[in-house]
Amino acid sequence: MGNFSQLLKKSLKLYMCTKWSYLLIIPLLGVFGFVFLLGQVWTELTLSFVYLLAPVFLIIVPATLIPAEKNSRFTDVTLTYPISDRDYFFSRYLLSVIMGLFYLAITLPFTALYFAFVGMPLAGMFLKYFIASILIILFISGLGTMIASVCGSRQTVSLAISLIFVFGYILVSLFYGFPESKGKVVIAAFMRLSPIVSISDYMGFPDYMAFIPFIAICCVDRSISLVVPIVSILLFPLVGFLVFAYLKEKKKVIAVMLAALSIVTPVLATGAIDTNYKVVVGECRGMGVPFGDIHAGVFIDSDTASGLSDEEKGVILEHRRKRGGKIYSAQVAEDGTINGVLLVNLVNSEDLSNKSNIEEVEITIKSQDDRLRFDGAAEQSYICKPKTAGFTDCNYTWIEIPVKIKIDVPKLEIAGRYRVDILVPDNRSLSSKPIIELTVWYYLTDNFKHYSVAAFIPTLLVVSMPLLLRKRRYKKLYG
Amino acid sequence: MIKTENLTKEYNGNNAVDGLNLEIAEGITFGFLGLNGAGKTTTVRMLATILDPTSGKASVYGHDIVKDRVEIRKIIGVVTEESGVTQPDWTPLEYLEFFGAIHGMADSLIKERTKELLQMLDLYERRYDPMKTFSGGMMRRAEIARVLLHNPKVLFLDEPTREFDIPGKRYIWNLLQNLKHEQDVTIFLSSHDIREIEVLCDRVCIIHKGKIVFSGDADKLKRGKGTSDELEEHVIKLLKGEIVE
Repeated sequence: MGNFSQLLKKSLKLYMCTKWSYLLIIPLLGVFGFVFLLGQVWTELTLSFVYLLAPVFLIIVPATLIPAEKNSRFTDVTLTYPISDRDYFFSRYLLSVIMGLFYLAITLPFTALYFAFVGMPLAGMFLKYFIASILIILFISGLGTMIASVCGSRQTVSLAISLIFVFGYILVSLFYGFPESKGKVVIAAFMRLSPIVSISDYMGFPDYMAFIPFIAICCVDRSISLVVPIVSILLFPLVGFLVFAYLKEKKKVIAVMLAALSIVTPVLATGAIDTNYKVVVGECRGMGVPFGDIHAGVFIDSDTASGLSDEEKGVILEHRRKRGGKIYSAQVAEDGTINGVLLVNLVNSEDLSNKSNIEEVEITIKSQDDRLRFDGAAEQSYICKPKTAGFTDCNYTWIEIPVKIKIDVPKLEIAGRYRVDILVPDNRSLSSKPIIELTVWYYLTDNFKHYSVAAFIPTLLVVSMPLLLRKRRYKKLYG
Repeated sequence: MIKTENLTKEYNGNNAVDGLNLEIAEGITFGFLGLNGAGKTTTVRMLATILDPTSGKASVYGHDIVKDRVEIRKIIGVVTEESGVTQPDWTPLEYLEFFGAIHGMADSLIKERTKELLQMLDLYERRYDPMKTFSGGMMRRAEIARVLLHNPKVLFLDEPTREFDIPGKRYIWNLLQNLKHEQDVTIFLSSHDIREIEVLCDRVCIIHKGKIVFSGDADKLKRGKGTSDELEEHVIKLLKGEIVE
């Protein structure tokens, strides 16, 4: 027992005092600093930070201990000293647990303060966080130590670590979740844990979706979500394996940090996707219309519409009818409501160029989808006065319908296409079939940028600080 | 003493060590020669309790290598064949302190021995430097310091002078000779270097494909070979398994 406690004590001392791992505190503090600075502005985002980041660190820390220690050589050498194999591996396990708890101890005051700060129910949240963290530490440390002790070789260990990341995140997801989602978001959050989705998110969200080829990527729908977990599970071990296999042992630290980086960024991006995204109705068009006359309507946010003149609205619609112009969007609120203005062009049977007074028409909008409602009903009628402003073709008029849409779908499942029938009077018709399609997609640009910066800077610090500190140490030694 | 009886280690159906029978008396330097893949390192790892044998038995100072691992570990020091140290980020002080502590040595004794060994092995001036800044020879010296720290009764040295230049080799040879004469340490020396074996060893064993092709006194090996070249040629034939004595 004496040697066992010495082994544990000395290992711990060396890790706490001389190894680089303690530098993980820096990003931890940095991120929590970020949280405190911006917590009130973006409450939901901040909450997801707390939920996502602390577990990530708790996973990374024990996992980084394992490759540093569990190379077969150190194990071999240590096992020529008077300590039993069982004691040796148990000491490694305890070491991982202690280091994990050390980081947990650091995060707890921040978490407690934060929950108090945002007025969350402290007892429940805190307890959940605390218990889940301890379970994660115990599980991950145990799994990592067990796999490493059985496998021994460096490559296998890296594979094990990659698996720890994946399993760890599953555990985190299962235990944590997001308060507002009642667990539903969790699965989708895990599904999006992939660099591929992060990259596509990043690429796929130019302002106002002006870049048509990316629209398919922008619509993060269920089909992508199904592919991602498979890719993730295959990708992480593969990346870990390659990194460790091709880098020299002395570069192990950098390799570990790269692996950490590969998980931090997508996790943060996941946070951005799942918790604070804007959902927009980005496009509104006629279905199955012949080429050249595709767009039956434009859906514009009420605020935007209120700042536009009739002339401008007409021009927008005219452009869209000719497949040009800017695509407007309306933001979907947290509760799934969209306040917007539907601009629809009508085709008239008579030339209206000399007609100053166009009679009002009754337009009926009918939802084809059970999940979409207009002012609470599946069908609504509106009395509108057709306008010609902005139009060059005198057989066309347009109408403006202020609508309040409510989509009753969980946040992460809201993306998709919703069909709406538009019924018009007999003497007028839409330019094509009287069905319009509202496309809802996730729009992430702003949040993703913030998350990326928040993840990138501390990670960069983690990667660079050991090198900088070591350099300083050499300088100090050699004068 | 070290004794093996039909010691065998099998990997994927191939015997890396095949029925090895050795008897090494206390206080001698035992030379263990073999080409790469002959089974030298596997034998050292089994005797050093790192690896379990597939079959057969072995004991070190009467302790069984499988049943009494911890007892054996108390009296041995092992330098493995790999280059460098196991924790290149640590300083020699940290390195020796760590291994001294898990050997159960008192802090004061660790400090005393560490200073003594680092001075003896010409590493004292670099005691605060991370060992990754060391040359190969310096790292090897740090490894030797590590295994000498607790005054072992048996040393298992797997190619201990591989990274050394000629003066460095001579320095280590002198050190090992002193250990044998002054402290009666039994040295199990695995090496490629015929000259090293010639200088240091009392008894020699040569293995080929896991089996002994020569075993006997160093004098027996040298007998009849007037020059170093003749000896080398003879040993090479033994190493290749072309002759068996």
